[in-house]
Amino acid sequence: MTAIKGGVVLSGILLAAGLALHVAGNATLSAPLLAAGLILLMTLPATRVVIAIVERMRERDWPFVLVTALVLVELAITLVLATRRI
Amino acid sequence: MGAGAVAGSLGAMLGIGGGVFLIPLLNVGLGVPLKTASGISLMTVIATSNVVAASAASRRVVNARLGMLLQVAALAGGIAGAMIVQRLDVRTLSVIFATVMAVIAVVMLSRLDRRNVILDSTIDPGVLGGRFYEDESGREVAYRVRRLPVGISVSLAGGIVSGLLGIGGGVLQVPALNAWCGVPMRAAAATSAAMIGVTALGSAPIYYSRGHITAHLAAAAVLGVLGGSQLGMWYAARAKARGLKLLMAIVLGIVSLVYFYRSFAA
Repeated sequence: MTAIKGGVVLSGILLAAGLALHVAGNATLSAPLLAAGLILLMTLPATRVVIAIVERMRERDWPFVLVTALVLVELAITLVLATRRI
Repeated sequence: MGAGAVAGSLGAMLGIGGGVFLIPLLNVGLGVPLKTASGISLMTVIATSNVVAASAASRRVVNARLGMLLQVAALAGGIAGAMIVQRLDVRTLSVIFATVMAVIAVVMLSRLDRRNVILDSTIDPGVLGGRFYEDESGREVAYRVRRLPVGISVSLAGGIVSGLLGIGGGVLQVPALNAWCGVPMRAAAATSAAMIGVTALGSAPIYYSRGHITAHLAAAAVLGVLGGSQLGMWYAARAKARGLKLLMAIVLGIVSLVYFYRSFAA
């Protein structure tokens, strides 16, 4: 969970820097920083699911390894839908 | 950022997430299109969920197994909601938003005096139940999960609402888990808070790739909500929730009326 905390702080810094540059009128620098901050933020819940699957595997709780894997599959479907623009 | 801070602190105070306040503030207040306001709200849901999930205090009460099982349904709802919203016109969406706001207001009013149910710690919580140390009673409490199909159905509905409107599904999930499924309030709130970020992730990339998340506004809202939710949690520990819930139910009722008016008068 330290990774998640670190991720939240890092994305906060990226977003704050990007926002400051946006207000200052520097679009070329602010756009990639804002995008990086938002995308990093979006990777964190997925990371939590991966951490959960590792925890269940350590506990040898196979039914819930399966349940957690199902959640990961759903997230993969989202990614496909987002990129394919159906 | 101001809108995010206000929404974040109110949301955290009431434990319902800031989206219900952020969306009307952005949409009616700042003139941001409704779908964009929803997309921005999804990002703030992800941010708050990450913060709650990473905090040591909530990890002690989160029911990881129940949460992940309900997550399968909630995420399916989130994906469906985000796909449906791309095909809806603004008027239909406004009516849905107004209806959901009214439902939340009623749910809040009906729960004004609802208290935590503390159960015997000697029972066997089963596979899905849980136990945690509760400060108020100074001992370990345990609970069993009842009516799982109800929990799954409400999670699916919460996910669809989250995907359609960008508000976290917690407003529906927490009362349902607490009232119908036997999950103590604190466990229900923490489990739901951890879940809503993953549910929102089922929708956010779809909004993002279709240009419904304006980066600088999302950044301001996320930073505002992160700051505001700290303030809100600090205040919630001290304040009496009853008057606040009543006030917010009234505010949500007014928001609902504004959206009904806008969708029919236009």
